[in-house]
Amino acid sequence: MHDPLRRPWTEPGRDPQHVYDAQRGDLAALFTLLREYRRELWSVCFALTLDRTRAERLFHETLLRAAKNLRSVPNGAAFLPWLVRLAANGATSSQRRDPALKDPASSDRTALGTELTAEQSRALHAFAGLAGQDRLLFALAAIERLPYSEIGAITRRENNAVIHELAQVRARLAHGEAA
Amino acid sequence: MRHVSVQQLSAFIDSALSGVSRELVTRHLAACGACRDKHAAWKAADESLRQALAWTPNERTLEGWSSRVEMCITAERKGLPVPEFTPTLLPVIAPVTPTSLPRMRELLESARGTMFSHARGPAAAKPAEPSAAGTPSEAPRPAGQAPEPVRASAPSEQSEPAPEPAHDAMPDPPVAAAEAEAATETEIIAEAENPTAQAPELDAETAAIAADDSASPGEAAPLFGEDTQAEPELEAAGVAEPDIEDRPELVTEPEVEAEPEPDIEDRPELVTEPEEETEPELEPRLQLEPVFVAEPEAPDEDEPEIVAGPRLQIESVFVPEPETPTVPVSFAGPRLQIEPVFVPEPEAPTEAVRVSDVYAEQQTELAFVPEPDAPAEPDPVLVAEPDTRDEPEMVAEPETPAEPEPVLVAEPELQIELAFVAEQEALAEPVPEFVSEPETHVPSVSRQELPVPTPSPAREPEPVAVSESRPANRSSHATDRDPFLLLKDLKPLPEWSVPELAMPVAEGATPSREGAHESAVMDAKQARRRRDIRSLLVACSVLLIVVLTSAYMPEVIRIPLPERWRLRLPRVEFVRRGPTPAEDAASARAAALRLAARQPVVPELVPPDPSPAPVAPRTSQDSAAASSANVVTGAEATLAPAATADAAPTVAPTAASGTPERGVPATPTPARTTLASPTGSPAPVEATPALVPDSPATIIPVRITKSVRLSNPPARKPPEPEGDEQWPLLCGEVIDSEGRPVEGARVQLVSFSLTVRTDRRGRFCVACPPGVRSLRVEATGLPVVNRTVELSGEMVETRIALPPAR
Repeated sequence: MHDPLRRPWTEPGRDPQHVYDAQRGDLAALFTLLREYRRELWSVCFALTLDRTRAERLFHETLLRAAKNLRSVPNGAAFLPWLVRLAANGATSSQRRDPALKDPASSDRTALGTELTAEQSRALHAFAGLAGQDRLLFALAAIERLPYSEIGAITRRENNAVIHELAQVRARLAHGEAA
Repeated sequence: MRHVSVQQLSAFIDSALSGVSRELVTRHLAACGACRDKHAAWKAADESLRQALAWTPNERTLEGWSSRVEMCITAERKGLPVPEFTPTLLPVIAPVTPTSLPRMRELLESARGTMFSHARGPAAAKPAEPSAAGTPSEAPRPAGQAPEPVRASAPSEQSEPAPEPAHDAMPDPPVAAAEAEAATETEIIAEAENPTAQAPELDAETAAIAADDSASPGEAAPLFGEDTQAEPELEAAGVAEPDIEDRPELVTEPEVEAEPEPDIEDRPELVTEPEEETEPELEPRLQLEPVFVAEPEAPDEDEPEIVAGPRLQIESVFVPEPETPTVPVSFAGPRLQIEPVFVPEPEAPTEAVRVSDVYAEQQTELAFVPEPDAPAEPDPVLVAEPDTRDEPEMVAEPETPAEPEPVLVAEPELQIELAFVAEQEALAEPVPEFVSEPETHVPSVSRQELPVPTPSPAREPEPVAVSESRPANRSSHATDRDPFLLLKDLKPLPEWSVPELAMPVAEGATPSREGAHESAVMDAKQARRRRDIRSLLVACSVLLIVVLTSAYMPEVIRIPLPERWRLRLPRVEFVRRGPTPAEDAASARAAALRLAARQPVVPELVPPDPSPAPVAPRTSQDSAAASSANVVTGAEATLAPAATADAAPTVAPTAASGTPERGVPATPTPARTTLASPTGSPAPVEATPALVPDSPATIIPVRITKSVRLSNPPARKPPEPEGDEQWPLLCGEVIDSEGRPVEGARVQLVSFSLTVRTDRRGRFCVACPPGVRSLRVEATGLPVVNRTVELSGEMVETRIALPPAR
């Protein structure tokens, strides 16, 4: 399930020092942090928005928001989970501001930039009907293939809750796809 | 059969099960068809979504985004307006296909306002004509020649000094890079348009592009038009950026490395450009040309078909690192490249063409022009990325103030400056194309309104200096490499970069931002001056009021303070130096009302007083009496004129001794002071209670302490037997109405306030003087019973029955 070569998302690693330095105004440390996890952040943003343009905007806003709210990073905690939560919250806020973003119609090949098969289109349409948290959960599990423990750490859920909700998400996806 | 739960199935799909659980689910799926189908469906959905959402931008795009964010953060930290960016993933890039290259040329031509008629087919293409003026405008080229171009410049031509060095001699590596990139991306786009088609190898792709263009150049335009029309939403919002990373051949990007200097002189279309003559402002830009080092490695000498403008623009994007030996071209200010792009719109030739308008439409298209012939050389930008990113100083570059300019921040400014240099040399003529300011800042600037900028002395006017002053690690920033970033950066040019430029307004130009800025500064100064004057007037008026009302103000202002607040402020008294002859004692007394102070004041020495003032001896009674009054009793003070008090100072008799000591200044007693006349004659002044004479010898206040002790009422003690007398014991038993002993009942001897409680058996025993005593028996829940008992002898036994509760 999990790529062993990939660095765990919740691994603090050298984050604490960078976060510590960045919180004290070290722009170099801040930029290092933001660059280090930009690919993971993009995956999350893309899964949350299902639109490249929106994902880019969310990506940009998330990084800016992270730079502003860097002091709220838990002491000694990994930076990426916090960043992912920030992105998820940003996506939720965007959808609240503009309900049109919830329109599953945005998940067409135009927004994604690639041609989709019929099966992919159905799955994507069903996926677009999910809530933001469910999208995040599914993206972390099925796309990023993170272990449940990391998903739970990122989404702040217990493992059992992750298993349960993920099963529900898959069931809804199958139901929506069938519909 | 018991099916597996959805949780088990989901966990099984995620490979989160292990051991027995996994084995059970596996066996069940092997046996149960329904669960197997569900598992297959779920897994297929997962895979579909994974494939659909697995797209990730390439490293360069991510680098551009990161650079944007860093730029914003840096600007924010410095208190500058945060520049706004438009999404880079614009749909314009998506429809670029091998057959859409002619369409790209069309757009370029249409941007220049000259080639609309050639837009849709080779028939409309203009034959290339050499450009004598050397303007950046490119001549329309037949669509069939599109694939060849890129390689453009010949070494010999590059070495030749151009008579008008404008854009002709400008290096064209960006063009090559862009073309190479476009070539690589064309297959992506082709894949997007034709999903079933697989991405071919690079060579095959370039060959296909060339074949396609040469065979049916006319298809490009309709195809492109179909794309744009069939997918209007792409242009509106969505952008499909090709995923270069997903294709191994694109990763190498051989074309990008080949940054041949385009031979602009070979491009006849530049000469044929009608706008060139009408746009003299472009000529000064040619002077920037010497700055650029001609690339010797221009493999393809064929005429480049790409418009000079876009090439210049692209060129700036692909600026090789100074230290990179493989890139001979020294990058100039990336902003120079923008200028050629700006071409007046054909529909409204008389009106100024905003750069942003043209730019917004074509920026991406211009940036990606495939170059099939580009040799496979490493892309300096891409190669340098991993190295530079690890360097700490690269990251910290924007923070370093001593460095020439933070690349991210300074680039927009530099762009403008370079353009300004060129235009200034163009005799300050109106520059229609030059609208380097973002749309947001200058919504509509007419051609005549465009100011002719003056290069700021602080800035480096020449691109050479700019390029040299750039740090070696400058390439770490995506703005130098990423065409998307630069092209987009130009559009929302940061507002804060513009005021730094000294831009003289051309004739007929309306007051632009500088005028507004000056007026704003003047307004701010006037407002500040008015504020200062207002505050000065307020202060003067307050002072005047204080002066005028001082005569009516009381001498002492009492401010009641809380008890606990011990504000230690010195008492301020306005004391006259002495009574003038005109003043009499009465006036002095009237004005001498003072309150007692806490701290004793040393009285001045006065001449000995033969008749001591009738000061009562200070005793404990005195203090007690004083405690009854909070003010000094004037009866104890004798006032005398103190005009000559300094002549023969003598200590007044203290209140304690009552006898004065002559000539010996004794420690004054803070209690009371008697003032005597300097002549020694007793001049008793009528005592004024609670008044303190206003004289140099201040009456020492009495420290009055009040102490009231409240004690508890004396506890009554039970009478104790006197001597050996033994009191009789009063013992008894308290029972209820049913005869059961009452435990805890209070038995009180009323006359002695002596109370005892009954024990568990209801008995009590207490010693009491003989006589008739009253007992009061109380028990919880039972009525009170009073009983009179006569005590005599040694012991009296009684039995008290409490009635039942009502």
